[in-house]
Amino acid sequence: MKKLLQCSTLFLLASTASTFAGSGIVTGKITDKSNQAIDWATVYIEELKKATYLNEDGTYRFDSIPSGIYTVAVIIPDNTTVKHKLVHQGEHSTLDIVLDVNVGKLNDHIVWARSKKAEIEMAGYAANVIETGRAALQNIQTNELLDRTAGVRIRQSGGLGSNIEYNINGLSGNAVRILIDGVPVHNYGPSFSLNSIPPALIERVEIYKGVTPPHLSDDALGGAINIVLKKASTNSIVASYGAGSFGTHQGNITGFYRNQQSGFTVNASGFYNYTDNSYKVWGDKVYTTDPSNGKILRGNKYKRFHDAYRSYGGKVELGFSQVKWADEFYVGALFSDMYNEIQHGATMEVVYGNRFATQGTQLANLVYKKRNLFVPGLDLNVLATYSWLQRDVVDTIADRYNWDGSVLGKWANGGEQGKATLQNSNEHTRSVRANLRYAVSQSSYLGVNYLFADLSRKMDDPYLPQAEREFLRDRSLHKNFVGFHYEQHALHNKLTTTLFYKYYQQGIKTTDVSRKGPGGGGTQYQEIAHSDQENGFGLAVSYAFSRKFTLVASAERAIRFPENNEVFGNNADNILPNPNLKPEHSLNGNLGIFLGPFKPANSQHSIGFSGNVFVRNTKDMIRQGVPSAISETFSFENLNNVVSTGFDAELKYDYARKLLVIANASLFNARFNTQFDANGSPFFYYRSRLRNAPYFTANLSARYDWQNAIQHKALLSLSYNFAYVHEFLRDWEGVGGANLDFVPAQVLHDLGLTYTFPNKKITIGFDAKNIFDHQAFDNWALQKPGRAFFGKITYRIL
Amino acid sequence: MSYNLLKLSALALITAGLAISCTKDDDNKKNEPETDRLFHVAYAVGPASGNAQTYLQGLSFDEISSGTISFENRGFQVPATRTAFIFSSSDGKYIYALNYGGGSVHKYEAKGGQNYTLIGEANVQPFIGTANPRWTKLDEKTALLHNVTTEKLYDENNNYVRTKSTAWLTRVNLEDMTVGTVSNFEIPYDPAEAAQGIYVFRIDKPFVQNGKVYYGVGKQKYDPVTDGTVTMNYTNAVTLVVDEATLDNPSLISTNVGGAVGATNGYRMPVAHADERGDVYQTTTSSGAIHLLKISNGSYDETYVFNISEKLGIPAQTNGWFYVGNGIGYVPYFNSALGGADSYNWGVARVDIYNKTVTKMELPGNLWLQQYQYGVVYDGKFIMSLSPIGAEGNIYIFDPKSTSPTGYTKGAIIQSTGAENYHIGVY
Repeated sequence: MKKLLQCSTLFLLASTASTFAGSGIVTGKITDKSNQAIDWATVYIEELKKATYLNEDGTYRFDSIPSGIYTVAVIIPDNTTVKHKLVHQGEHSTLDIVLDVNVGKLNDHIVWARSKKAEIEMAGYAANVIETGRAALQNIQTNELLDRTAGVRIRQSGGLGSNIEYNINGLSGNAVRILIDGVPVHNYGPSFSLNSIPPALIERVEIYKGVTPPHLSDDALGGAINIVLKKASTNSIVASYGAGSFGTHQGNITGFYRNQQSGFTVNASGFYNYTDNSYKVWGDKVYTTDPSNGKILRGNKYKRFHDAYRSYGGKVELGFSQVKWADEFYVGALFSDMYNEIQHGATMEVVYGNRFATQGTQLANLVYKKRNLFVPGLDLNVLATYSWLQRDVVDTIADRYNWDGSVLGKWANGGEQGKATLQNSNEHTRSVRANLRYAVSQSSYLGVNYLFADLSRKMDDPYLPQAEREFLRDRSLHKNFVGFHYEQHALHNKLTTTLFYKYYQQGIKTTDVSRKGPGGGGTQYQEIAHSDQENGFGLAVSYAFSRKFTLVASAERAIRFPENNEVFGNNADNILPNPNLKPEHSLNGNLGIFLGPFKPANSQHSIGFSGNVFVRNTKDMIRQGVPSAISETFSFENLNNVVSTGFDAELKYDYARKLLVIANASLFNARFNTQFDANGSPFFYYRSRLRNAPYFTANLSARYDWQNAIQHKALLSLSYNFAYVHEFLRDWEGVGGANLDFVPAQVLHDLGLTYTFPNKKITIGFDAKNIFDHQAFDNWALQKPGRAFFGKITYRIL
Repeated sequence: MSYNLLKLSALALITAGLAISCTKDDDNKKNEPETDRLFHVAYAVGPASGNAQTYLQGLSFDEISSGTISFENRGFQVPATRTAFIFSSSDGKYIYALNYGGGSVHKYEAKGGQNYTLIGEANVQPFIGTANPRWTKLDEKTALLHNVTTEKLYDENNNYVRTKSTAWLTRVNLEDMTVGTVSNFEIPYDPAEAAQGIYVFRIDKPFVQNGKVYYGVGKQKYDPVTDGTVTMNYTNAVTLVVDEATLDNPSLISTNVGGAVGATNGYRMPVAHADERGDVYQTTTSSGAIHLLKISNGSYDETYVFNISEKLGIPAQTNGWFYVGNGIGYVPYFNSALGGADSYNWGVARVDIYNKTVTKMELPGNLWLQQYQYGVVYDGKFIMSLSPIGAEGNIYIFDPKSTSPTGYTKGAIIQSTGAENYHIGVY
C-alpha cells in the first residue's frame, strides 16, 4: 500500500512537472552569415544536458524548459562549439544564432554528423548496418532482421534453431564469414550464434558485401556479417520474456553498471530460447505409409514432433571503462549450451524421431581498447579469446518414423541418418586479434591488423568398436592474418579512400592413423600437414558530392582457404585427400550511391535512396569431384567458376518521424562460368543461372509510431513486413519442361505491435507472422513455419 | 473496306489450308499400324555421383526415327531426391521410377511427349531400411529391391576379423505398386577371402531361373592397417542365389571359367539375360577383360568360355550388355588401354553368344557410356541413344541380322553429351 502511494505521488509529481507554470518551449534557427540555413549541427542546453538536432530548415525546438538563464551551445561536427546565453521566461522563447562562417566554407572542413550506421555505410564499402532498435522489443529473430536487408538472403531449413545458409549477393556457404565483435563465430559454436542471440543483445549487425574491411580479419570470399554486441552507456537492467506458437519461449536479460568514480564496469547478459517447432507440414514429401504394403497415404497435415530446440547462454565482462589507462578493459567469460532435435534427413521424406545434437561453449576473453595510447592519434584495440567447444550427435535408435509419430520398420544401419553414432568432438580455440591505427596527419591514418587463431579438434565416437575409434583423426588448424591499411580523407573530407593489403596464412594438420600390422600390434600416428599463403588487396572509396549525394566504390581480391575435410578427405564419407587443393579466389567490385534524405521545406515528407551494383568473379571454387566409377570415392577439386552480377536498392520514406517505410529489392544474377570440365567436356549450362539458388528478393517494411497513444507519453508502434522471394529451379535451367522441381515463390506478411507505457519501463509486443499461413520453403522439400503468434514483455528494471 | 475484305479472304484461305493439312495428318495417323508404342528417351543432368536428375520424353517410333529430339525446355523431370532409377513396361505404357534418396517407388502412365501421370506409389523405407536401395525390374509384374549393410567384426583383442555383409531383399508388385515382406540374412562368404578383408558390398541385377533368384555380386577389400578401402583383385566371379518364393536360403555360385574374374552386379545397364532356351548369360569384367558367363540349371557352365575383349582384340571393360534375341546381343565397352570408365573411348560391339563372334560397330568417337542404362528391343531391332562428347548424336537402330559394323540405321538427332549431362537410354 505504501509502495502504491509512493508510486502515485511520483506520478503526480511527474505530471506536475510537465505542466509547471514556469516551463515553456524554446525555438530558434541557426544560419550562416549569408542567411543560409544550417542543418548539420547539434544544439545543446548545457545546464539541462538537453540536446537536439537541427531540422532541415535550420530550426530547432526544445519543449518543457523551465524558466531560467541557460547556455545554449551549437556544436559543429568538427567539435567547434559556439555558445550563446539564453534568458528564458514564459511559454516561448526564441534564440536565432548566426554562425560566423558560411556554408560553403564549412562544407570544406566538416565531417558531417553521421550515425554509426551512416558512417559505416558511407565509408566506401558496400555495407549495410542493421540497428536492432525497436525490433528488439518485438518477437523477431536476428536472422529475420538480416533477411530483410537488401542483398542478403537467409535460407533456413526449418524453424528456430535449424540450419541456416547465408547468401550475400549470390555467394553463399563458406564464402560468407560470420563474426561476433570481430571474432569468427566458429570460436563461439552454434549455441552462441545468430540463431540464438536475440536482437536485444545486439547493438547492430554490419554486413559487408564482397569487400571486407581489414579489421575483420578472415578469409571471407564473398563478404562478412559482423555482429556487434550491445554495450550500454548508462547503468541499466533490462529483461524480456516472450512466448508464442509452436511451444516457443524466449527470454533475455542485459545489465550494465559503471562506477562513476573508479570506472569499474560490469556488462552482463543472458538469453534463453526454447521451441518445440511443432508447426504443421504438408504436401508432396509429407505422408504416412500403409504398414501392410507400403502404399503412400497422402492428404494430411502433420505437426513436427521431434524438432525441439533449446539454447541458453550468459556473458559477463568485468573491468574498467573510460579510465586513464583504458577506454575499455574487460575480462570476460561466456557460456552457452544447445540441444537440437533433428526431425528429418536431407528432405522431409525421411522422418526421424530420435536423433539429436548438443553443443556447449565456454569462452574466456580479454578486451583492451585505448585511444591516444602513448601518443595522440594512436589507437589500439585488442581482443583475445580462448574457447572450449563440445559437440555431440546422438543417433543410436534405428526406429523408422512416420509423420504421424508412429514407428514403422527399422533403419538397416542402426541409426537414423546412417550407422548408429554417439559422435562427439572437443575443440579448443585460441585467438588474438589486434588492430592498431595511427593518425599520420589530421586527414590520414595508417592501420595494422593482426589475427592469430589456432583450433584443435579431437573426435571420438564411443559407439564405434574400439579398433575403429582409434582411427578417428584429430585435426588442427591455425591462421595468421596481417593486414595493412591506409585511410585518407582528402578534398576537405569529401573524398575518403582506404587502401588495404591482406596477407593470409593457413596451416591445417591431421593425424593419419594406421596399425603397425594387420594383426594389430598397436597403432601409429603420422601427422600430415598442409599450408597455404595468399595475398589479398583492395580499396574502398567514398566521394560526397554534397551532403545528399555520395558515391561509394570498393573492390577486393578476396580468398577462401580450403577446409580440413576438403584437403585431407575422410574415409567414412568416401572422400579422398587432395593435397593440391588451392584456395578459392574472387575479384569483387561494388559501386554504390546514397541519395537524400530529401525533405522539401515546410514538409514532413522525407525520402532517401541507396543502391549498389556489384560483380563477383569467383574462380577455383572447391567442390566434389567426379567419383571414380568402381570405388565411388571422390576428392574435392578446384572446379567451378561463378560470375555473379546484380544490384540491390533501397528506398526509405519518412513522414514526420512517425511513419517509416523502407522498400528494397535485390537481384543476384549468379551464373555458372566454367565452360569445360576437367576432362575437356563442355557444360551445357555454361553461363546459366546457378541451380538451386534464389536470385530475386524484395522487402517492404513499414512502421508507424504513435506518440501519446491511449496514454500520455506512451508510444504505440505498429509494424508490417512483406517479404518476397521469387521462385527458383532446384536444377539447371533450360533442361526439361514438365514436372520440374522448384522452390516456390515466398510471399510472407508479418504484423507487429509494441506498446511502451508512459513510464518507459514496460513495453509489450505482439507479433503475427506469416499471417496468411503461406507454405514457405527456402530449400527444396524443407518447409518453414506457417502462421504464428507471439507475445513479449520487456521490462526496464533499472 | 476492300483491303479488309482482302485480309478476310486471305485469312479464310489460310484457315482452309490449315484444315486441309490437318485432315491430311489425321488420315496419315489412321493409316499407321497399331504398333506405335511409346519409346522413352531418357536424358540425365548432374554429377554422376548419384545426384543426377532424369528427364523423359515419350515418343513414337516415327519421332525417334527422324527429326530432332531436344531436351531444351522439354521433358518430364522424374521426381527424385537424389536420382531416379527407371524402368519401363515392355509395351512402353508405364514408367517405374525408384526415388533414390527419398526411398519410394512410383508408377507413371505415359501419355506421350512430356506427359506422365502418377498412378501408383509406395514407400519402401520401412521395409528395406534405407532411402537409398537399388532395384531391378524382373518382369511385367515384379521388381526386386535390395540393399546390403556391412559391419566390421573384431575379436576380443580388438583385432579385425572380417566384415559381415547383410542382405535386405524384397519385391515390389508393379501392377498395384505394393511392397512385399523383407528377407534379411547374412551373405555367405569365403573364409579365405574374408580373412583378407574381402566382403560383399553390393548386390544387384538379379534374374530368375528355375525357381531361384540370382543376384550379381560386387566385392570390396578393407585394409585394417589403414582403415581404408583398397583395390579389390577378383579371383573369380560370384553370384548370390536365393529361393524365388521366400528370397531366402542363400548360397553362392562361382566360376573362374576361361580366367573370368570380376564383379557381376554391374553398374547402371543390365548384366544378365535369359535366352530363348532358358540359359542365362551374364557379363563380368575386370582389368582389361570382358567375359560372358553362362548359367544353366543353377550353376555356371564350366564349358562355356566367351572372352569378348580377346575377340575385340583390345583390353576392354564393360558395365553390362543387352540381349536382342536369337543369340544376338550388344555390349557397350571401353578400351581400358586408353583410359578408365570415365574416359571418352567407349564403343558398342555386336556379339553372337552361340557362335562367340564379336563385331565392333562403327560408331562416332568420343562416346561415354559409363552412365548408360537402357536400350530397347522393338520389332527385332535394338535401339540406343548415342551422342559423343560435345557433338550431336543420334538414335541408333541396330539390325541384329546384320553382321556388318554398319548394321544400323541412324534415327533422330539427339543433343550432345557433355560434362554432367548425358543420354542414359531409350526405354
